[in-house]
Amino acid sequence: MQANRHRLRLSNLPNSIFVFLFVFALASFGVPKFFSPGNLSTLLLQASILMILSTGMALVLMSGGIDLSMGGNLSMCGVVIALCLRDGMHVLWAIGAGVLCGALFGLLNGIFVSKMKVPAFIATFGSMGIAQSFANTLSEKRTIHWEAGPQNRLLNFLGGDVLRIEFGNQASMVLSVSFLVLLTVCVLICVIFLFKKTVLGAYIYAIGENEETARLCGIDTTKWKIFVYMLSGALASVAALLVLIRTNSMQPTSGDGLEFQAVVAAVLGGNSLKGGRGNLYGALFGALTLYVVRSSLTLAGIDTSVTMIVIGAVLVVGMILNELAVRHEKNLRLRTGRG
Amino acid sequence: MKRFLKIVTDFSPLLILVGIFAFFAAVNASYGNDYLTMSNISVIVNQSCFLTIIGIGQALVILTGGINLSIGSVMAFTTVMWGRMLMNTPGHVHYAIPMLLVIATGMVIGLVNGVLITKLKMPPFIATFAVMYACRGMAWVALGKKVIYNLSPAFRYWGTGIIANVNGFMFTVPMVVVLVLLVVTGFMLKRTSLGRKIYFTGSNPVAAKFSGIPTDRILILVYVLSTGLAAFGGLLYGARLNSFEPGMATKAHFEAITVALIGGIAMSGGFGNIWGVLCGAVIVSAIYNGMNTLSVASELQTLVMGALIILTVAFNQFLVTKNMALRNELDESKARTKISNP
Repeated sequence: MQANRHRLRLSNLPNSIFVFLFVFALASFGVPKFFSPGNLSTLLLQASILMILSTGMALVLMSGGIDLSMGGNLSMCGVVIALCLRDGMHVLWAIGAGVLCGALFGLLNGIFVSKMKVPAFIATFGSMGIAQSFANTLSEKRTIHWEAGPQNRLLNFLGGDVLRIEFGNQASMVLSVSFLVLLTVCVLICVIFLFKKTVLGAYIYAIGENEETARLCGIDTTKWKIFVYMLSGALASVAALLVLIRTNSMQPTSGDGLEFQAVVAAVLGGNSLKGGRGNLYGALFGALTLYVVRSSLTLAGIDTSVTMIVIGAVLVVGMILNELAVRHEKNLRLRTGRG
Repeated sequence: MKRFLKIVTDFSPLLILVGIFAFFAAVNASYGNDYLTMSNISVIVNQSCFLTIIGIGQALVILTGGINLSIGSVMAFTTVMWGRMLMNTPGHVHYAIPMLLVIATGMVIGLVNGVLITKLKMPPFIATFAVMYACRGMAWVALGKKVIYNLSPAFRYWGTGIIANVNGFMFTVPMVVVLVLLVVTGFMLKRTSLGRKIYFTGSNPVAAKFSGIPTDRILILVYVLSTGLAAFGGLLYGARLNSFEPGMATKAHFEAITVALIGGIAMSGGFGNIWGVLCGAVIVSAIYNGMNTLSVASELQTLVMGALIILTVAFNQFLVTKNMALRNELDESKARTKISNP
């Protein structure tokens, strides 16, 4: 019985953790410069943007939808924040405007999907075009810079390091954890808290599993679906803030294609596209796995086109592992049910 | 009245098409441009040919309740792989050989898609996404940062040839090809048992499986056809542009989905008419053409296109739901009359 419970707990872990650990170990042993403090801290910083996006995507996927407008939304919110900063607005107002913009755009998505009954795929695909167009028009297709001043001192602070340990003289031997990573962790904890400790999580699962049943059980599906899209929009704007601080400027195209990476990360983490199944931790490790693959291949000096093939293969293998894990769990449940 | 309404909603893509043409004709007329000339319409229809081909491929897959994201990358990879044989070099092989090779390669990739989806139980979105990534990567590996250009004229005839000129309306070779494809696909879907099986698999896969339809085989076949059509579409695309390159058609899968959905194919599968795809393609190219004649900035074009996609699909969804309800009512009343006077 004890052994059984232990095995059950192991299979309850999102199996993207195992994929992640496997890929990580492979990269650490196979690529010489990969396992260095400098590289790992860069990796974490790079992955944190995708981690936020894939969390939002996982929420939407679990509710049975998909949000392809996240990338466009990221560009649009980033441009809005950057324009506010350029005009000398206080940084808190700028961030507030960006997040509001993202949430409102999510609201628009939610209305398309739940009120107008457009399939989520096509509704958010259409709004991706709208958001990209806004980003390009507002920024006039140029990178936006702003002057450093007392009102945006917070940005420099956020861009700085919270922890810095030097193992050696070279840059690759410095382990530095940026405030951005801390910010990411805070945001993720908030989302996970919202998901686990409020009705949101249960409602999302219910809506994703069977929307009609959820409605008949008294869940206001329209309202909650709109809320989920708003949440994913707001998360996209937080990711935009990260991009903006990291590059210290904002390009109107910086979000292009990120939505697909977020889908891949979420699905690698065991989120089903049919909804009603999945978890948020899985999405996080999916995002980390993608970045470990990319970083290690780049360090090994492999061409980006080969990297694309490898990522496709990783996706297939990860999905097969997910399927095996689900089957294993089902067998286990049947066996314990009988015993 | 109900019967009339049903017929109207049957032609929902056609209604949208007329609306779009009327809108752009009116706006263009107010700017002093001629939009509804014979030559412009033939340009629009000619541009829509390529969209129709990949749209048919996508529509077949959407009818079974799936999705094919690998279309654009397959177009790039297959044509880049065999494209060198189509170049205008002295003593080149007959152009039919590389064309067949391209389509065969596309079908093999489609087989991979189908096997990943049916045998490994991957969701179509993810399986075709992985194939899309891999194919795009392979296309870059195969050709690097080069471009295949200067294709043989005999091959280019397939993409640019003009058959007849009626009052400025050019009948081109792609139009004929698309017409043949539509007739064949329409016949397959409406008149053969295979078509019925495709519709049935899409509307309820479990019921289809339990009534003895080999759903796995049907799905694999559909993905093979769809990806093969994508490769063929890539050939025509390249023939028109006179070049093949690894970065071509990066948004083709989205265009194909747009075309199929505007054409009235339901995203949930099992509902739709293949001729709607033609309407969808003409609608999309009419919109692009109209915006270009008005010289709308490219970033605003994405805005208009995005908004139009959402609105048309919402409108279509409304009409299709209405159509399904009307059809059910009509069937019911027909059954009732049959019972009352046998």
